[in-house]
Parts: sequence; structure tokens; C-alpha cells
Amino acid sequence: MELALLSVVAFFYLLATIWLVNYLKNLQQAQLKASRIFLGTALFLQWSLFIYELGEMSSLEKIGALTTVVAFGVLAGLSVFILIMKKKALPVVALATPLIALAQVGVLFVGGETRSLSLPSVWLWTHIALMVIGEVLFFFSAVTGLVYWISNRQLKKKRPSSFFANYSLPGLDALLGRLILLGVISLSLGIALGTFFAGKFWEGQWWFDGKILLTLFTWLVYLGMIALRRLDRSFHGERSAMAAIIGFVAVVFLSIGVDALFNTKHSELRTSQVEDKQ
Amino acid sequence: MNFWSIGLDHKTASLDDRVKASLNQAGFLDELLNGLDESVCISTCNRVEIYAISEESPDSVLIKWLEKSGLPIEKKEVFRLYLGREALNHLFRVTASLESMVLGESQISGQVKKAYQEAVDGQRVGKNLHPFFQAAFKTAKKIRSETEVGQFSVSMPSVGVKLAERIMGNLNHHKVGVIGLGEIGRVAAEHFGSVGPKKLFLFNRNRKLAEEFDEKMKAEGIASEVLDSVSAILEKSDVIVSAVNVEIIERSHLESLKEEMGSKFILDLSVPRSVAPYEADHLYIYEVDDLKKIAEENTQLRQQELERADQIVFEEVNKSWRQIEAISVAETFESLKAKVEDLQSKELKLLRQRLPDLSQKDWQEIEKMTSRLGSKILQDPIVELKSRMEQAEERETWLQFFRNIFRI
Repeated sequence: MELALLSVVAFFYLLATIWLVNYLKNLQQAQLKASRIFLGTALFLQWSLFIYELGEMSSLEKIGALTTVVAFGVLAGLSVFILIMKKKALPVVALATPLIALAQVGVLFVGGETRSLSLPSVWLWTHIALMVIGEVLFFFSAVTGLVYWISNRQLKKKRPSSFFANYSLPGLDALLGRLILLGVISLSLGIALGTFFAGKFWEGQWWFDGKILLTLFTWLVYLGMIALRRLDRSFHGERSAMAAIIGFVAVVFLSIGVDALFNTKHSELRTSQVEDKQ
Repeated sequence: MNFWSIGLDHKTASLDDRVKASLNQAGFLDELLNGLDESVCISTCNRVEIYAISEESPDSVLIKWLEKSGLPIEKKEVFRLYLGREALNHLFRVTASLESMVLGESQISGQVKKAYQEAVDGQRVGKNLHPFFQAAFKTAKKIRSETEVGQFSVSMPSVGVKLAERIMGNLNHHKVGVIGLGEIGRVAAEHFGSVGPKKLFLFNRNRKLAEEFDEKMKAEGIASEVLDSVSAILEKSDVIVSAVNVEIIERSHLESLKEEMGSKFILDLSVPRSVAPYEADHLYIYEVDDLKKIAEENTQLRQQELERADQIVFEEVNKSWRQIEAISVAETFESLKAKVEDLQSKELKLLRQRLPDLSQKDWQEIEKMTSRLGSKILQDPIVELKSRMEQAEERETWLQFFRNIFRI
């Protein structure tokens, strides 16, 4: 049932995208209204599924793995729903919605099994929430980077479209910087919480783990971007935009690869059969 | 209530006339506004306008204005006068930047707010002008959030300004340089000046002409400066507009603009071109043909968005004006009622002197009768006026007619 519902959610996201793109081309208010309705419907279905999953939990400490994956979509969906009310943010929404739809469909293949996470503390859920928020912020930094890149290409080719008429290149660059900074802050807090609990519950060289090393890599990549932006003015603009896009895509692919190839400490947590050492 | 506006702007008056008519001289503004019940004066680089509530005729204000500014009486033609609802419509359009040189530019709204605040501080705004300006700010915000009217310019300099803003961001933080102050160069300088750049550099082969133009720009409140060479303009400006008939910006100039100096937007408004062909990642060079293509693409969408903005202004003006009329109608009825009561009491007083023998009970009956009579006589005209007020057209005429008939 969940998987069918996620397909419908992805379908509504795509409908919202199509109508939004049409609005940005023709500026017909009815198209924007239709896009908002489709997006609202998708979000309503997502939230319904999320709440249903929470209701199915046997206890606060056990939650379906599918729910944690859906949480990303719910947060991203909520963000675009807020953004679609702001006229200036519409092109970002138009680029973000198909990607969220893709992520929802991806859940069908990647996170389809409704295994349970078994965690001993609500603080560990806070750790997960912070990591997801960080990823959502990186996702939007990548979308902003994409808007910058397209807009800059158009301006260089002297064919600026009305699609991005509301954005100035420096404005997009500043937004990108802020999103990365907020993402790194969220990720840093998440890593700090995770490190504390890992030291408490896991033995040995727990840090030598695919998922943990990948997270540290992600953190370092984005921290490096912030440092470069501070130190080198030429890293602003198109270079930052490209780094944000490539950085996010690389992290997503590496994450899928690590999950598929390695049996990490985190994946052990995803089975209800495995009990954590307490 | 007698609401009107009078002033001049870039559509009707030349830069020279606008500079002369500006109300910056000490005491000039006070003298002009003296005697007006309520007034707000908007003075920007593209317009000088007075919005007032006053029984004094706007014509007499205009005569004083012409006298003080040194403009000849023939220049009366460049001033625009709006009365009543038309004045309100004009205020809404100005605040929403629908009357600006660069359509939809955001600076004007802040300038109107500043003018309004100065009038409030000077205790020149009362219960009448206050709601007009609040409604104007609300309408401007609505137009900004619900339409894209500012995004689709169709004139060459406006397209240039919009492009510069897309590439460089807010021009308040950037320096603009204009090379060549012929007709096209001057118009471009005025357009870029109207969005308030950090600095406006000017260069012309005839330096005297540049200095004269610089004086006018300064009088309009624009931070301008004359530079001596093309290289200096290129080095110091982030946005460069070239409007001369020879290739004045050569390849060597462009090569000297290193990436470390930041991105630059170069706008060539000349035919034949005045900027050598050159490509670099940090340079955005546009020519007249590029602007023409953008302007053509913008035409249809701009018309569509303008219509939507006009519709919003129309609805908001109607809403505000109806409120004023409702107050006005209520005040008219109150005045009429007071007049009738006053007549009643006067007539009753005379009657008492003539009929001193009547009992108190009889007097009470007479008072009730006169009151009923007054109400019945007024009932039909009041019902008729109310029905006339529901019709969109000629509301003001009917109200005035009613007031004239009853001399209130």
C-alpha cells in the first residue's frame, strides 16, 4: 500500500512541475493555482503516509525504515510547498519538485523493505533528524546551484529567459552560501550527537565504517566549500554552483553505493531482529 | 473633501525642467505648501509632485510654483494635474512603479514612503491623506507580489537596467559608468541613475558637456562624477554603458579587465558597435541587437502583466474611493439632519413667542409633528441619493448636486 501511495505522490509532484513550468513561461495565474493544488495533494498524501507509519510503530524506540526514508521527502516537500507561495522562489521549486518525485520513486527500489530501526534513545532520533535536515539543505543548495548555472549560461549566451527573471546571479550565490552553511551546521550537530552515542553503544573501531566515513567525507566536502568561499573570491559564482551540484550528486551516489556494497553498522540497525548492545 | 495632485515627471518634462522645478531650495517647499490642509511632496530624480487636500485651487499652487522655480508660464503644459479619484489613481500608479522610467523598479516605493514619513513628521498629514497613502503602499505590495510587471521592459535602456540587475544584483551597491553623452547616452544615464547606483561615472569627449550633465544629475540627487578616460571608467565601474559611434572600447581595454576585478556588464548601445568583440567568463557584453531580441520577447508578457497591474490599481482605487464616498454621504446626511433640526428649533422658538398660551402638552405635540414632517420631507431625496450612490458613474456629481440643492 505504501509503495503504491508513494508512486501517486511522485505523480502529483510531476504534475505540479509541469503546471509550474507552464506558469513560468506564460504567467497564467490558473496554472500556478493548479500547480499549488497538485503540490498540496502530494504533500497531503506524503504526510498521511508518514503519520500512518508513525501510528504503526510498536514503540517510540522502533520506527519503520521506510518512514525514515519518506521523512526526507516530507521535509523537502514541505519546504517546496512553503516556497511555492513565494513568487521569487518558483524556479527553484520547478527544479526541486521533479527531483523529489525521483527520490520518492527511488524509495520503491532502495528503501522499500519495511524493516524497523531499533534505537535506544530519543536523542538518536534527533541525530537522524539533524542529518536529514542537513541533507535537505544540501539538496536545495544543489538546486540553487543548478538555477545559477542555467541562468548564467543563458546570460552568457545573451538569451536570458523570463523563467529566471526574478533572480540576480549574486542573489543566487548568496542563497547558495547560506544553504550550505546551514546544512553544515545541521550536519555538525548531527555528527556530534551520533559520535556520542556510537562511543557509548558500539565497541572497537566503530568509526571505520562505510556510512560513517561517507558522512565525514560529506561534512568535509561542504566545510571545504565554505572555507573556499571565504578565502577565495573567485570560488563564488559558477564554481560554487558547480561544486554544490557535483557535491550533492556525488554524495547521493556514494550513499547508494555504500548501502548496497557494505554491511555497515547503520544497516545492522535497520533490522528488527538485531538488538543493540545496551 | 478636495483632493488633488500636481507635478511633473520624466514623461512630460525634460531633465532641465525637472531640475528647475525641484523643491530642494530652502523655504520654497514650505511656501508652496503653506495654506494647504494636508500635503505630501514627492521629489525624486524623475518626478516632483504634490498631493494635497485643500480648498485652495491647484492652479494657484501651480502659479506660485512656476514663479518660484523660474520656469516661464508656457511651461505650465509640462505639469500634470489630477483631481479626486484621478489623483488617487495616479498616487497608486506612482507608488507601484507603474509610472517609473524603469517600470517596476523598487526604489520609488521607498521614496514615496520617505516623502510620506517626512510629511507626517512635519504634521502635514491628517485623517484624509493617511488612508490614501496606506492604501497606495498596500496596492504597490500587492502588485509586486501578484504580478511580474517589473520584469518585462521593452525600451532599450530599461532592458539594459534589468539585465544589469540580473547579472550584478542590486545596483545600489554597484558603480555605473556611461561613455558618451549624446542623446542615447543621456537617456541611458537617466535610466541607470533612476535606480540609484552607488556611483554614476560619466565620460564624454567634450568634457564641458559632461560637467553640465553631471551638475543636473547631482541636482537630481544622483551621486555622479566626471572621469577623464575610457580606461578609468572601465576600471572603476561594474556596469559600463557605451553610446558613441566609434569603437571606443578596444580589445586591449577588455583584456586589461582581469577576473580579479570581478564580473562586469558592458552594454553597447551604439550602431555601429563601440565595443570590440571579445569573450571572457567574467565579462557580459551585450549589444543593441541582443537587447532588441529581449525587448521583443518581453512585449507580450509585459502587456499581459500590465493589464493585471492596471486591474489591481482599478479595483483598489474603487475600494478606497467608495470608502471616502461612504464617509462623505454619511457626513452629508448628518449635515442635512443638523440643518433641519436647527430650522425646526428656530421656527418653534418664533411660534412660542406668537402663541404663548399653548399648554406644554400642545407644544410637545407640535414638536413631534415638526420632527415627523422634517423626516418625511427628507425621506424621498435621501432614498433617491442612496440609490444614485450605488451606481458607479456620476456618484460625485449627484452628491454635489444634493449638497447644492440643500445648501449644505
